[in-house]
Amino acid sequence: MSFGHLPEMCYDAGIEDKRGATMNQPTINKPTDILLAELRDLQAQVLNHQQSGGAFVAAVNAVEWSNQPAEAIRAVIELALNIEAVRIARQLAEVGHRAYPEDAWLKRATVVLAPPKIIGTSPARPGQKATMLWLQDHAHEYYQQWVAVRDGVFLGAGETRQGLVEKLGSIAHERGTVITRIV
Amino acid sequence: MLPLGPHEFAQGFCYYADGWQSDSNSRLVTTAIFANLAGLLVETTVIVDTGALWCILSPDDFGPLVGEYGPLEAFVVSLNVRGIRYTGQIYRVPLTLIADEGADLTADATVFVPELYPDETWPHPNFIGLEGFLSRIRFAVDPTQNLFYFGGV
Repeated sequence: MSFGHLPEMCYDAGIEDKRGATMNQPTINKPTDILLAELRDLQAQVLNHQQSGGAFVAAVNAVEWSNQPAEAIRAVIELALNIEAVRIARQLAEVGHRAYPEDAWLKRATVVLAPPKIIGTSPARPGQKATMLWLQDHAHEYYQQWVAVRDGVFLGAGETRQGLVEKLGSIAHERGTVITRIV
Repeated sequence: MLPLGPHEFAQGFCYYADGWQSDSNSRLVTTAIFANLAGLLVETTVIVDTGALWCILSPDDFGPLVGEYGPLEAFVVSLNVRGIRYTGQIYRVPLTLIADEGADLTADATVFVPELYPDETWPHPNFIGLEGFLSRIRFAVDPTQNLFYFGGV
């Protein structure tokens, strides 16, 4: 089973192709260094708005990545992330990790780039609305300062987050104490 | 109001502010908790922004989370934030949407933390973005009461 071909995706809408992982696409067999140079050029064009992100995705899709060295897969993942093509970066990480399970970078990439995962819930702690209302009404008085508010009660302000935390003491670390910079 | 519960569309809701100080546009500003594996919490304000790719956390807010039990980091990326391209690291961070009623929601989120020069201050708010968090939850907005509903899928 080939896992080197990636589903086509609409770059702009981020829509995953539902036709499955194996598609009849031409596979471009170029030396790796030429392939990477072309993708870097394409990425630069995307960043300069001379080319669409879809063109980059299409170029990546045309390659059998399971046959490429791990360093090449890593390089293209970074290229994709820098043009915010996160979904193809995510899929490349998965392909790369399957091809090179001992590669720690690719394994870490599959974790960090994975879709968000719900890990738990906890009962609400009322006070959030009161804090937001205070910020809405008073934040302008502390522009470019750090403020701490708890259940709608102003606790203090400071020029730095660390300084404010030190001034507040243990309450700075308690659930319900919101510390934010007014920007 | 929408009903709340584990089998409903939403499990909780929070109150949001319409805007943020330096931003003349309408925004959805609420609070969230970023955590590390040791249970250390950073509770701060965030802008919910479906136009943001990742969640974004200021280096000052992220600082307390690093260390032995700090978030798993991946690699350096660049990200366009409000027209300025920043370089930074992306991390996997437990992120909790704080409910005023119902139940909080915690997800393993992908968070971008910019790298700044020593004399540079992060001039933007924190963000909860689409691929970083929102793409795996249900959410709805009630603008008549400034309520942001959310629930896990």
